[in-house]
Amino acid sequence: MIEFQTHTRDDGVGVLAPVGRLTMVAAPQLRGLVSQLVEQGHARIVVDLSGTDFIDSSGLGALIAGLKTTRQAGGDLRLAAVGPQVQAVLELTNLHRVLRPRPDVAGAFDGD
Amino acid sequence: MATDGVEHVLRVNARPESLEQVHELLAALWADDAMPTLDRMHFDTAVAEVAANIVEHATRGQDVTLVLRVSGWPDRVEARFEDDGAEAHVDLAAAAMPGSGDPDDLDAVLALAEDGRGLALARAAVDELVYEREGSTNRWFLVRRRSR
Repeated sequence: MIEFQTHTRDDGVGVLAPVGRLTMVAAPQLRGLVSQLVEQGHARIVVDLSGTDFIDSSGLGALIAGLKTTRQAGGDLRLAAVGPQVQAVLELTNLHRVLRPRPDVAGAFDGD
Repeated sequence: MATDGVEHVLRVNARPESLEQVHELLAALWADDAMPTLDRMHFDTAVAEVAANIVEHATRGQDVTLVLRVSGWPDRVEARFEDDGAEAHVDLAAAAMPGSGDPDDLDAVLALAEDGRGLALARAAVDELVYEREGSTNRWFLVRRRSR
């Protein structure tokens, strides 16, 4: 099962936290939530993966889609606080080079 | 230690919601198995990808029964899938991982593939991944050897 928690910060950054397993069941929801945040003017999004126990290729596809959506709107999508399974999957697919995970949510957009 | 070939079996209708039961079956395997965490994560990842592939490609609007057997052995863990769905036209040897591109180049980012990683990921996560079609049955066989 999965649950999504979203909020926006004072600096305009949208924070999206999938809690549970990010699989083909949840991937369409994630895509929708990213689009919604971007439409509301939050093109900078942090996906807080601290509560994401598991990701599959459909979940990765949704993150890639989100990266494209935010970048097209002049923003970016950043991953933060990834757990060991998510990290392993990012490395096995070489997507850690594109979806460069940050250690924590608070500092995910530092230096920009 | 479940290293004596004790099997855990799941028989379900192949639907997206069934993937949760696949994870529960894996949890039952690990409940009495001392497989190192990294090996477990790789095995779970590959098993979940094959299960998702069956749900996505074998069903084609039809009811398909998926049977998954997982077992622990002294040197490895195994998963065997059987389903009566459509034939999977896959060439596992040729299943290539889509490219990752330059993250600072917008065109390269926009060209990133959003799908097509599942079987390449499964293959990368286990030591053996085999698919066979026999009569009207699809069979998938996965092995992850224990790290020493």
